[in-house]
Amino acid sequence: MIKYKVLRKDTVGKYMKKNGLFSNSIKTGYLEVKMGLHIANINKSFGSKKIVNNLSFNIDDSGVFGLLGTNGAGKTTTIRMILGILEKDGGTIEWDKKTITRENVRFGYLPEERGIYPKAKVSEQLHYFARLRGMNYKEAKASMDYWLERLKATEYTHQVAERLSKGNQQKIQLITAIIHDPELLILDEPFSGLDPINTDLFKSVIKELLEKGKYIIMSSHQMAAVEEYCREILILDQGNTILAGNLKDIKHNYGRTNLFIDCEGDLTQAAREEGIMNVRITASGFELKISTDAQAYSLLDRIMKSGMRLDKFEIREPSLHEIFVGLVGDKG
Amino acid sequence: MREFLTVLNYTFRQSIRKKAFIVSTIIILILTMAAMIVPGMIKNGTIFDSAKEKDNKQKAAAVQNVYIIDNADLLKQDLTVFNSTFPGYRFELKNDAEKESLMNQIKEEGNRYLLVLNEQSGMLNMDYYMKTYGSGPDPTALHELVNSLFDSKLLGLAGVDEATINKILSPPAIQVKELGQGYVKSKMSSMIIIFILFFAIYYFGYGIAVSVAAEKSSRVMETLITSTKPSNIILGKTAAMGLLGLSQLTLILLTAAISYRLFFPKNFTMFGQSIDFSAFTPLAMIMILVYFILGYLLYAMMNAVAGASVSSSEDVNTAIMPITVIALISFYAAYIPATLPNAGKSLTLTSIIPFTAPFSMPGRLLLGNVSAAELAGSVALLLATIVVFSWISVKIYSVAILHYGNRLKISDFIKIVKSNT
Repeated sequence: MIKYKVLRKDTVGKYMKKNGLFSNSIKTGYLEVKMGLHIANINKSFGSKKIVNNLSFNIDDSGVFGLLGTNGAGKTTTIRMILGILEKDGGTIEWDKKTITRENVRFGYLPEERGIYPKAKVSEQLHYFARLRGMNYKEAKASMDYWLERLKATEYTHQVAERLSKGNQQKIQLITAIIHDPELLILDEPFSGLDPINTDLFKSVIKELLEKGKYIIMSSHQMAAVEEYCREILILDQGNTILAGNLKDIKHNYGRTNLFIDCEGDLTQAAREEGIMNVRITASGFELKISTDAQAYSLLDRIMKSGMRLDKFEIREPSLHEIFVGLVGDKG
Repeated sequence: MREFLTVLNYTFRQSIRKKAFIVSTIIILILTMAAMIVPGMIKNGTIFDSAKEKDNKQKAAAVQNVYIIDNADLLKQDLTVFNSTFPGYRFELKNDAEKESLMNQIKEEGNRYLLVLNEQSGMLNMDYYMKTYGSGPDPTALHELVNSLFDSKLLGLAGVDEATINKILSPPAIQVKELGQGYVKSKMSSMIIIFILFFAIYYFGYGIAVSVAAEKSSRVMETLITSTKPSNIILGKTAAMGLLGLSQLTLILLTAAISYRLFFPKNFTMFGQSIDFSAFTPLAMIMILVYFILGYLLYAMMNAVAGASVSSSEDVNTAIMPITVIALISFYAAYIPATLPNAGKSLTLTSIIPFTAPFSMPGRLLLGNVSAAELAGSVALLLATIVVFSWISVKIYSVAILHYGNRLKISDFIKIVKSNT
């Protein structure tokens, strides 16, 4: 989905002048400008150590962008540079074709290290952050009530934050990040420490934000969650970009090299006879690495002929987890 | 500006509801009222016994014996003057032969005393026996009484008439009258205000450091700095704590002023000198508040940086140590000259130097010897220092709040300022 910024007719001239645009961009009195985050060649060093090296990526459409990497790969430093709380050594970060600042984009940020005011009431701190992000009292109250109800936390409104469970504190932290309806939301490990029920609740909120056309950058070590949401990914390793692009394309390029079979009996010998040497036995079945689809179908033919009971046969692309481990596993 | 006010409003509301602030304010106000009420109670004798009550109490208690062996024949068998001077005791003449037995009684039983008067080569000698020093008639008072009787005897023998003897022996009347502001009156006011300002500036500055460190250790800082500029946070927070301090100080001054009017006795004296707080004029009060604000701002900015240099609240005391040292040196540099009768130039100097001026100048104002030029110079220099320190503090704070791990040192601060200018 392409995101457009819709301007009132009387503000079009001012906007165009400010952004160096031409009159043919105007459509029936409204100017439509494609929004997005554009990062080009950013660098950051601390002392002699290069933390982020010549990083570039674009997020042109709303959706979730996966920023991945091992611990210390440079993800948090990149996020801090995007948020403008850390000066970059070089390169450009633009939102809507302008240098990104707190003034020209509404940021939402859920940091990996969760933090709320432990001694303050939930309602007070949510109001505080909403007001700091430009909302008036009425807007802040309405948004706070909505999200507290949405995250099933209304009963904690007037409680002191330190008395809440870790999961409920995470909910308050998430509301802090989204209470002001941000355009660009950065979620750093959004599901860490959550039980399955709250994980689903958080996922449903992310889906809701996606439906509203938000731009989201998600940094996570939970590859299944990244696969579930991210269309585009970028993997950092020691500050360098080692893989970037559309996740489907990346997986497609890796090829259908994974075969999963759940059947009775031992397949190892039959697999070897088909030239499949990489066989791993797990609790749920056999995981095999194949070179071609023909190898898999030949093995299937053997199973069928042997009369073994077959419950599952699946040829699939590698998971993101497998790609990630394959790329940085040895170094990490 | 709106974000600055939001930070100010939130910090002020959170801080004013803290139990520590409420309890400390109530205690300080009670102590302030007590300081104004107690002198009145002393003067009216409701705390300490009046002379009459003391006398009655002594009478009510068992009367103790004081024996006198008058080998000098000074008293002529007349003990009236002793019994009237020391109403709690019964004075009785004894013979020298009874001395040993009386001394044994005193040693064994106590509650009685012996005074032996001897004359040798025309000089009077006086021995005073008691079981434990501190009990019985005051030795100095006894000595003075016996001495005057001896002087009277000698003058009589020299042929001086009784009227002249009385004149000679009467002590001269003396009244200490200061033509400037009274030493106790003005110096005490000055010292009190130096103390109050030091504690207020230090306490609320310390509050800033703790507050900043708490935001870092709770990791709420990460969310905060994506919501507003670091300068809004440090300035809003500093203003909020300053407003809190100003509210408390104003309450203290108002409580002191009202209870002074209502309870403080007129013509109250201590050590023969009158004590009042008339030096606290409305102008002096306003200048005290102005110097509190300026002094607070200077120290608060440094405290905010100290708070940002550590990762947890437990390390705050170590981080603010250099500021504590500066504050203590400045306090003593202001306080010691204020206690001296002729401090002269040192007091002038401490009221100009920006670090000592917030403590020293208000004290000097109460002494009433500050020219308008000196006052303006002191305020201007202090303001300029605050602007410079605020600028440096905002630079360091913006970087330091994102630093976790080892405490940042002064050399790190210098690097930060250099790389951000």
